[in-house]
Amino acid sequence: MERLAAFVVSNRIKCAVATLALALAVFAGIPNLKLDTDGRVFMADTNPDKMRLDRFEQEFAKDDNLAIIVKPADGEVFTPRTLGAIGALTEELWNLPYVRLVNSITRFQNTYADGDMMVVEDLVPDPQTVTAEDAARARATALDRIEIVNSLISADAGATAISVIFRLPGVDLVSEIPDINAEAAPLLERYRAEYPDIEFKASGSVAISQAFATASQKDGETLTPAMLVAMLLVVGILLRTVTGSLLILVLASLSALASLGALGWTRIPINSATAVAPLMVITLAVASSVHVLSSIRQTMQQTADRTEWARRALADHGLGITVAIFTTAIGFLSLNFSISPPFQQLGNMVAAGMIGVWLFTIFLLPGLICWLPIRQISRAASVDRFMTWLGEFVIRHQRRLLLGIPVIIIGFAAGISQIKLEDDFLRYFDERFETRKATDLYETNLGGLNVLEYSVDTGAESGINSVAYLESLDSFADFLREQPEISHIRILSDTIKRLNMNMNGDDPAFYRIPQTDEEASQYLFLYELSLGYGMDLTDQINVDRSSTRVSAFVPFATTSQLLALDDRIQGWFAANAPELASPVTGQTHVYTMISARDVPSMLKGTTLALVFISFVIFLVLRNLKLGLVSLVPNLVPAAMGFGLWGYMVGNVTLAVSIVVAMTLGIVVDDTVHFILKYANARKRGDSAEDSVRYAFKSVGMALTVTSLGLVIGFAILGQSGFAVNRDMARLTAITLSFALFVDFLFLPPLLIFLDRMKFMKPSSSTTAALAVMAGLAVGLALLTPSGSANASAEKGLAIATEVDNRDRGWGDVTVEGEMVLKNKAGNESVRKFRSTILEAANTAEGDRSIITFSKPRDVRGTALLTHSKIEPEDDSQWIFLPAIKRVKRISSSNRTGKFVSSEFSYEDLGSEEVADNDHIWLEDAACAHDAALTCAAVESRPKNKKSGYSKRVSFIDLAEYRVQRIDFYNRRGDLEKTLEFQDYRQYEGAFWRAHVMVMQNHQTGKSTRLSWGDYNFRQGLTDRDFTPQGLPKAGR
Amino acid sequence: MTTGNPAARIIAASLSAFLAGVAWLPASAETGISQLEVEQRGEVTIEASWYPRQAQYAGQADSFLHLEARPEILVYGDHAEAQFQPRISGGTGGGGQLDVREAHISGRRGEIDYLVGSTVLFWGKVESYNPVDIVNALDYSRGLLRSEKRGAPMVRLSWPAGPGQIDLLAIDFVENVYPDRALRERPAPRVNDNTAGFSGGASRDDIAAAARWSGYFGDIDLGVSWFRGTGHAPRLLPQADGTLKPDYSRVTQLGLDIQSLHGDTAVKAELIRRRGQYDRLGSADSYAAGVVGIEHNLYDLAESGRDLVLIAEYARDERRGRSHSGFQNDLILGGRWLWNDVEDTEILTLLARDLDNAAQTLTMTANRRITDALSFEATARWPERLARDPNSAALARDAAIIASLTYSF
Repeated sequence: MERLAAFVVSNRIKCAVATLALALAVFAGIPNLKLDTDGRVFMADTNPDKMRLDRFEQEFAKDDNLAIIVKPADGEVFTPRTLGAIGALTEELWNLPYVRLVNSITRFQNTYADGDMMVVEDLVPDPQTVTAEDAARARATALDRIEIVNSLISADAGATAISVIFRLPGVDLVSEIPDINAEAAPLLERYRAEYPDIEFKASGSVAISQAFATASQKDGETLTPAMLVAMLLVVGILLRTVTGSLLILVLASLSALASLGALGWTRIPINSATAVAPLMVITLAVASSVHVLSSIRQTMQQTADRTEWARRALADHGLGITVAIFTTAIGFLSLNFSISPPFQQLGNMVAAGMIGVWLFTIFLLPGLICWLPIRQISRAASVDRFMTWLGEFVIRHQRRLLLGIPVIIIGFAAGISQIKLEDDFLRYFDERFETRKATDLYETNLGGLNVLEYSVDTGAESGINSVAYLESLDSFADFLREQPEISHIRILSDTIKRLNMNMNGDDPAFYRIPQTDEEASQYLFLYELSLGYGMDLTDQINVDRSSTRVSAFVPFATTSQLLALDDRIQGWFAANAPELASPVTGQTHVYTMISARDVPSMLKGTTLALVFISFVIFLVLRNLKLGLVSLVPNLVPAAMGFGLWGYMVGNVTLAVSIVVAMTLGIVVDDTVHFILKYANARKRGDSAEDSVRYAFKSVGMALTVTSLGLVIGFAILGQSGFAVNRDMARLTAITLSFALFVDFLFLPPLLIFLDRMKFMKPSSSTTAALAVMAGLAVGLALLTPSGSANASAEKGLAIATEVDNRDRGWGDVTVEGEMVLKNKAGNESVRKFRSTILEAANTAEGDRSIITFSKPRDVRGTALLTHSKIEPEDDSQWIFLPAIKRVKRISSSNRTGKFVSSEFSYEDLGSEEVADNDHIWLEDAACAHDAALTCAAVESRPKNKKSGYSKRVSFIDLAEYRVQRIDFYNRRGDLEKTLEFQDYRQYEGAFWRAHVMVMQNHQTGKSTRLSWGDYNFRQGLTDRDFTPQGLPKAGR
Repeated sequence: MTTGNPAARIIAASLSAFLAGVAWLPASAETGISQLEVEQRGEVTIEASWYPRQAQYAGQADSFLHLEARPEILVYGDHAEAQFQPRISGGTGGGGQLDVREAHISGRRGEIDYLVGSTVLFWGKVESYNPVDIVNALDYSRGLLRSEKRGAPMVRLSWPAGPGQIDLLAIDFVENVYPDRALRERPAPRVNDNTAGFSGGASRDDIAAAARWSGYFGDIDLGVSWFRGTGHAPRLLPQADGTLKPDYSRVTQLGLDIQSLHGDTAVKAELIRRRGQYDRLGSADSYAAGVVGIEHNLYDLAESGRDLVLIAEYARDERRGRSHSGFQNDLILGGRWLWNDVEDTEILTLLARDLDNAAQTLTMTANRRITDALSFEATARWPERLARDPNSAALARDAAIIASLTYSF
């Protein structure tokens, strides 16, 4: 990142130009964008429910309709004036595009007997000249017809419907429905003006589809500006920079355009769900650029150099931003698991936008920072001061928070049990939409607009004429009418019964299914011949007359009610006519099932996203434990959010199945930024508490600002009139708030706690020993005057640091070593090896080394590669076994193990950093090996509890700061070993190297003498020479 | 090896270059023009094996003496180096072998490491059975349970990529070597090495192509490999003269090997998808197989200074009973006990059990150094119920005790 930052800052013009050129190429897709108005856009073609619906519609008809409700103020439809209006409107509606049929109360095909004749005619043949008596007669007839009560006419004759049925060519979904509405809307407007005492309102699938389209436009038009203003205000106020806010505006707009451009290139029309994608991108873009700005805000207190602001911002936060953006993109990409294409498109669009955000933040923003005038403010931002306070607060109350917050979390999460999957796609739009008002009015006065459709199949050609079938159908009709949810039904048996009655002189006794199949078939034939223009039974009977359609209309229905109703209906089939059983279908049902089907598939998607995101975090942190810990603040907010939603709202629509995956990607950002900073500080050697302080200080402000911005952004999106977007946005806003809550109040205590736990883990006896040691340490500290204790520690650290500093900059070295192992009896054995070491590039990592053995001969060629790590992390080690030519990663946690069974432990030979130990100066005295020199005795206590030693005392000559002797004290505190360094020679005019080291074990009497040949410094070795893949080369 | 294909020519050329280099060596040492450095070393092993159970097939003996030498010459230059290590073996079981285990020149040009010539490669992570490892032919001349890898002539280019390295390889085909008639651990009819056949797109002149990325992220070591070429697991077709003919097929393999280290514990897995492999019944097939395992280190057991490494692995092959390897539903449990003494004493115990038919083999191997140049190894192997396992029924009576001494010079 450092290098990238330097590169971008120094090549800012090139980067900006290249980024913008790339952006323009993507933007070029925007002119391809079109608006999709199909209300069925949420149904994928591969959705099994949708496939069944398609088959059903092929068999009967695909009903796209306008249901116009006509409600006179006087509460009576059957007046000459109202009937006149209905008649006139009915005629005019025939002129709409794609019309197949207009059905109204005046055109109802009334049948009656006239002697032996059956007459089929309009209920009100001439609506313009109707008299009051005609109207009253028509009223009586209409209310008598079970087929139309609650569908064409309300039971009290206070409202009626005009049903306009369209047959859309389906060639251009983008324009067909708007074409209809473009003519229907002014027509209705004219009637409203002409008849101010009559309400005309349009619902039905055409109106609802239109609402899908208007909803996306409305969201785009009204919410976008509000959101932009709000975000800018948040950023501007918190960071106190106007230019900064404008910068963010530019960046956000570019990214939003990128997401639109990407969609344009795919040539997928925009729809009501994807219309909000640019808004989401803007919100997320703001979140990521805030990190840069807040870093600048912090850097500007130290320097006035703008290039340095930009460079530091990228160098410090570039990785965090990159990870955050990519995890967000992964979260959104997992929406591809949704069964609803708009959500898939939404996910992909936002992901594309996020890539844009990344490019612009990394390659364009630094340039803009350098060029635009940003005022330098030297006072720390108030948020920063607050963060410092919050950090202290959290550390002070860590125990309470650690125990208290889980209670709160569980309390919230328990609300999940209150959640019900309830979808009512007729009410996806709130009262701001005319369609919604029309729908409510319709369902209140007339029957339901939600329909359960059944294709009741006889299985035989012309089978529908069978009396047995018709009788089954009739009892099915009776059953359906008993169901309280159903307002009315449409079924062929009603028509047949009426025809039978008409053919028998309107004798009510004959209002039943005819006696023979022939009668039934003749009546139907006769009826169809006499029907008015456009009216036929093809939408009720299929072509080979093997199946009829049964429609049950259910007002104000929700998912669970519809499913329960269908269960009962299937139960009826099973009990009474198993051969006729047919599965439910219809547009309503497909919607009903989308959420039910989407939840399991999104669960898969979410899990996969979680796995990927955790993997990314793991890659970045290179630490399994922190990776696992990061799951807590990633998952808990969603659980809390859903819980709160369960308490407050209860119902979730199809939108919310995607929320977890979506928020996961966003929530992760905060966690990643926080944990990254924490981990860095820990690596540096800070204590857990200090690391938390550092994390709060360096990213607390940015997290607050981004979260606030995101919450406000999604809260504004939550004002959408389209339920899918509204619920999604609200739930996201809630989840994001919880995320900040968890990240600030729960994550830090958790991190500190886990850090402690690790040191306490080894065993209870260790714990006890540690406790005793701690007690002793406290006791000693109390006895010793505190001033001198501090001074000793300072001096100890100073000496250790000087030793370390004097041995820096040697680059790489190769040396031959020989170990002579001597046991108590004096028997010797020899180990020979070559050691090659590469000095660490910086203090954040350790040296790299390869030891290749040449003796004993049976292990010749065996090579050991070590990448040292800063404590407490284990080193990484690989061994090359020449006999089978295998490189194997081996465990390096065995610090106390003996190196090739010598008296040197792995720990003794590993590279040591100053920060690995606490150092205390003990005394200065004449050196044992040369009285002319003064040696300082420094006690070093290892911080890592895996160490085999309680302490080491080093004797360091103060002339050249060479270690002359080390006494090793084992865990029990006994002197175990002594290592003496002899024959020091200086290389390169700087580096002292001992050529003989003798380790004497006082406990066993064994000793090891390690002698070194000439050291060859600076051979120009690189990291490449110290990779596991290159190890076989070193091994020969 | 002297076939007419291009890789063989390259290899022949590089070998000649190597030999020329060696021949030219004394001269250059005098003139001091070059920095060539030569190292000679090697090992000689004498091995005695005894099979206590009565032989299953006519002609098999009960005990063998085997001698093997692996001399080695290394020549280091400034920018390149050459290695030559033949493996010469023979014994009372017959079938003397000469295999060019290593004979290559290698070096670095810019970012790219190259290797031209014969070498042995290892791919994989687990301990018991490495399905990913596919490059080298196998020498079974001491028995089917004791394979050695044969050197594979190849051109290999490697360069760093991400946190690891990419290897691209073009590999010449080398045949397997099968046990002679007198040996134990062999199929009932003898495999006639001279009759190798090729089918399913394979050929003797086939140059295999392979690519591998290996590297590590933190504590995770990962290898992803692809191999396409004639495989080294032929089907054995009965011939009219009562012998078996190895019939090689062309295989494509995608392999993944991964190891994740957590302190004292390593979790490992190898997974492959291979196409074109003949199964046990001799039909070419596409299949997936894998081994997962865990290795746990217990250090300084009871403060004795000794370590115990526990190993548990499970192998699975989607073809189950038709698997050619026999590792189709097998559990391998074991432990390596390390004395950590000056002599590097070590005992490895492994129990491999086929969960489908309860056939199992217990193996125990002990190593100890005697002097700086001499080391000793002994192995005891005890198979049980192998007759039930179609892959190893022929080895049911081959319990063995094997002892060897190796002298390094």
